[in-house]
Amino acid sequence: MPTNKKIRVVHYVNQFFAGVGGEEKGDHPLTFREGPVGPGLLLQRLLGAEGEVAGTLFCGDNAYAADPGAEAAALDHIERLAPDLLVAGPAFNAGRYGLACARLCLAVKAGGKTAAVTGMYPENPGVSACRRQVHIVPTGDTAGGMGEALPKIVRLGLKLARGEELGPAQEEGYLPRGVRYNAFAEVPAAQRAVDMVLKKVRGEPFTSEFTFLGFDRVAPPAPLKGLKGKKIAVVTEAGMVPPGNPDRIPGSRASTHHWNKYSFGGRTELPKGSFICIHGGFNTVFVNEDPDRMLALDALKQLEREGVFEKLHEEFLSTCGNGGPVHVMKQVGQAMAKEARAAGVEGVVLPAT
Amino acid sequence: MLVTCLPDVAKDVGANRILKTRAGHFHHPFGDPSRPEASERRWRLEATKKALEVLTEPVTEPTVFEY
Amino acid sequence: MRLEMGIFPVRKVAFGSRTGYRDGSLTVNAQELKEVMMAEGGFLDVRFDLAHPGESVRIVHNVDAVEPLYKVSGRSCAFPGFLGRALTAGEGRTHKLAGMCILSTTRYPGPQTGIMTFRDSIIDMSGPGALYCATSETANLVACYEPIPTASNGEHDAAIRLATLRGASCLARCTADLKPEKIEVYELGEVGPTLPRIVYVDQVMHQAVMVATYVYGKDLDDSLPTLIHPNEMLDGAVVGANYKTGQKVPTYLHCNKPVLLELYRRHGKDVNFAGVIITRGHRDNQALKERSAQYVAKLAKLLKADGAVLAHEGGGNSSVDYFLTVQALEQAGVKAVPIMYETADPGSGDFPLVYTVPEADAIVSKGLQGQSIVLPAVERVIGSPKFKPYGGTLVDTASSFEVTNADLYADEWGMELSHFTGKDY
Repeated sequence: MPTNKKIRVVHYVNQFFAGVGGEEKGDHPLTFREGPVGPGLLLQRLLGAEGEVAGTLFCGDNAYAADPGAEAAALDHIERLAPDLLVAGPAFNAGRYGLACARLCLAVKAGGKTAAVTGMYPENPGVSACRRQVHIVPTGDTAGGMGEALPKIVRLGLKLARGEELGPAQEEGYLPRGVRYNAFAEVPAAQRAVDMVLKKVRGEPFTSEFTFLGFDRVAPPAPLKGLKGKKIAVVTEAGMVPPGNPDRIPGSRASTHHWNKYSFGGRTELPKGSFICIHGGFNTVFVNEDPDRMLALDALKQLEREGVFEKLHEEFLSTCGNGGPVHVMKQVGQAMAKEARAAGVEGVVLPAT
Repeated sequence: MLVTCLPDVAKDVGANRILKTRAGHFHHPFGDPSRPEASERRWRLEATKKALEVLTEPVTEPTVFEY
Repeated sequence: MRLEMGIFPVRKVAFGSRTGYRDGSLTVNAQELKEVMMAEGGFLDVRFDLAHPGESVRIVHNVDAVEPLYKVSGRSCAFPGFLGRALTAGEGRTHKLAGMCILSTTRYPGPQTGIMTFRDSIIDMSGPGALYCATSETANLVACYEPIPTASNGEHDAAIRLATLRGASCLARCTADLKPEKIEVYELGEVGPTLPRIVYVDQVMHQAVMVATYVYGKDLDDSLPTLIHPNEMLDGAVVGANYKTGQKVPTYLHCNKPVLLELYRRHGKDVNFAGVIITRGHRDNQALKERSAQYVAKLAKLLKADGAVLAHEGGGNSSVDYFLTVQALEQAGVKAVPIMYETADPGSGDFPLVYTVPEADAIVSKGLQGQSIVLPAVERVIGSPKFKPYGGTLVDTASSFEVTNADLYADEWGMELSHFTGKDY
């Protein structure tokens, strides 16, 4: 794309910034205006010759949250206008406005045709709604930060619209998305660490080099209403496989296809050699001596005979979790869950190491 | 439900029903080689029973049970 | 405790009729060296090879790397506990052939299971892989050991460890009567009372054979965290025997720990280097991990530490020990900054650690594991014509193939030495 091409921008704001009104106008429907409106005037000034605010979409915060038609209408306008870039907000610390910006940016990015950028106060709930996918410029918590935020949004937005490669979040001025890459530091880790501990000791501000955006949370499934009549399965990440490891499941860093179901073969306990442990991260001698120390087949079979539960699933599902990347293990887990569900399993016992 | 000797990690990654066994070593959550064989089997039976009971426990967040 | 380290920088190693050092070059009589290294037996044979930075050479089957040290004066020997009695090291004068290593390579004769597995690794002396290897910038004298087929892995490992340390000390002995190019003085002298007291917490790896660390000749199996003077480490009191490819800390690095050297460099300027606490990770269960963490914090308090910098050797399991230690330190009022590698694959957006605690609010990143690297074909191979990456398939060592950084020798340390870090994009 030639760099002198004028970037076509659509701007999204809420009813307040569009000048319609405050909280009492929260139900204002999604509306389109040609050209810039409200903070869009500053946006246009900052874009200068490099871009043009082709139009402005605005909507009441309640309307956007409550009426799915509002977002659909916004996307129709964007489809028609075919902009290079959507600028949403900045929303500062306005929660519903932030969530609207987040949702619209996500939807536009999912379309794959238009770049999107927004600005928010880091604590705005809209941040956690889209920070992994959308570039967000951190702003102050009130509209007083407009003059500081918009130049940053314009600079970043133009780069995104032109498909230019972005530098690290801290240097480009957007919120970390939890997407990490290797890079080089000016000074070695030891020096950075001593610098950081001195700041900590002196009570000076310091910045951790890690970003934690948290693991995905899975809502707990409802408890089983008693065990009578239930089918139970054993699933493990401990690298339990038949002798010879026929599926060549590696002892570390498994891939998504590195799991399988293995039949207990009608056994009621697991003698040495019936299954082996190929996990590369711990001393496997004790489990190889007696595989029941991992899979507890002897105990489960006895409890099945005693009628504590109805049936033990005849196959156990196994992978090796050692050094497994989270995104890979997530897929393995999902595939196993599908398998267990298809087999009518209602409860899973998962011995982990 | 998940059986482990390292409940902190399980809690951290968001496993909801966790049984911490006193197997003494993360190498074998359902084993305790320090016991004589018969005693180890009895212990495993009780630990397994407890594991199954955990499936019937209502929880709202990552929760550690112990055996 | 005052240690004078006489530095003899080595840029070039060559074979010759007489072992000697001159102007940055070390000449080695291979036959003499072989006799010294084989004196106590325990392996069939040893052959030597050379690899210098910038050469198109790939070394595999790597075990340990040892920078040659020789004790000119002082009570102990170099690598005490192995080459002599476990007398307290770190005093007197030591001579070092700096910037070179004896690199041991071998295959293990016995069966391998679980963690007690030798994980093969690569050292590329040039090209894109070199940036990630810990010993691609040292002049390497490679010792290729042939095992006795009936020996156990543990026996073979012990024999070649001793031979490598003996060989290293024997080489450095040739400088005994020479004047060092420079003398570095290591002493924790009195400093101004206002400087913050900082301890270095060094968490090393120990589980079993192939995953071991030795202090004064004994592994850390059932050890408690303990104090060690930094000078003792400079003199080779800590010896690495962990063969987990990327995670491992070779003995060369135990003698050149970056945090230890940094704290020494700044001692009396902006820090008061209060001492080193050495501990092992991978403790057997939650209770033992907590006990160990509490011990580290208690020792730090006894040292009246204001802050602690921590370094970690190991994987996900030992990261639990590590961050529990950070938590215990912070709860005891000692500000803690751990250095850690990131486990998320580059670009994956995954959570970057196996385990962390809320108190770990100041972590230094030394880069991400899981980086894919295409290694070029090389002209020369040392160690074996075939290479099998961990969990991968057999390839021709000399060919071009793709690896992740964790297949490269001691890459977590190589990356630290190359100033890697992780950044958000």
